[in-house]
Amino acid sequence: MTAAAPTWGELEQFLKIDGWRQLPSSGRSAHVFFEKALDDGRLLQTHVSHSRDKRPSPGRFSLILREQIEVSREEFWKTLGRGEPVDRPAANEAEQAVEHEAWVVAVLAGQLHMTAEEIEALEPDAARQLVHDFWARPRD
Amino acid sequence: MDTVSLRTHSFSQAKAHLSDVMSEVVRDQAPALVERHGGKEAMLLLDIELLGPLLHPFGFATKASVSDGEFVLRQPELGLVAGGESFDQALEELEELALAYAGHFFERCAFYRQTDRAGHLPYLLRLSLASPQERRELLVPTPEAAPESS
Repeated sequence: MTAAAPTWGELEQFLKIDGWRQLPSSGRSAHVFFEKALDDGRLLQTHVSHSRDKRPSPGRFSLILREQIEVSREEFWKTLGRGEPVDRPAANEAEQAVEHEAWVVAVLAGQLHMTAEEIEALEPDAARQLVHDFWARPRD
Repeated sequence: MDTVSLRTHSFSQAKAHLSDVMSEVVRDQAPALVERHGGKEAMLLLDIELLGPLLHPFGFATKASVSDGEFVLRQPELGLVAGGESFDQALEELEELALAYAGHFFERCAFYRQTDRAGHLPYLLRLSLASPQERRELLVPTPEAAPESS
């Protein structure tokens, strides 16, 4: 996955253009929360980091588009460029990263001490097998 | 409301004898209803220990991926996405996001109950009642096949 992700600041700009409402902050959170009620009655929610100059990874951005904002990458950038809200329902993000059960990655990173790059290269079945092999090893 | 099988108190009775009502509910583990306006409004009092088993079916199936060195967690039951430079950082952020969401949800519960997010209530209640350690275990549950030390 190589497509660039926006900065958190650009994401916030998109949300403002698209008419999202900022939720009151608890004051301690490292994030700013937004919601948007759709005409079909559904309620979308997302958040941006206070670190406006930083960027989420491309994979995380894809998930934000698909699961939270519900627009395609192309529509996202088009909206930012023209400064007008998304015409919904819009095409959603199609890109989907390889996902594992979270406990698998917890073991790979926390107990097998694999790097992010090593985990990123694994298919789900291979990752799960590594964990089961680790569990099957004799314990001291 | 049909309250035949539950202990039921009027609001004024419950207010006047709150200590006794709480003792019944907690020590005897007897759920009770408190009603007012002739039963048009009612609240259920329940020992918190009894709530755990009721919320148990609402489990979390968090997914993880890695992208450009970032650990990414997707929490499908609550629609959350978190990330971090390590798995622990991502989980810490997910926990923070879930608690913030719970705060927003419970502040405007009547509103959320009219949206497609109404079903999030038991999940958020379960997380809110858990200790920090339990909360992480809830968000990323260890499978039963895992050895005890995992």
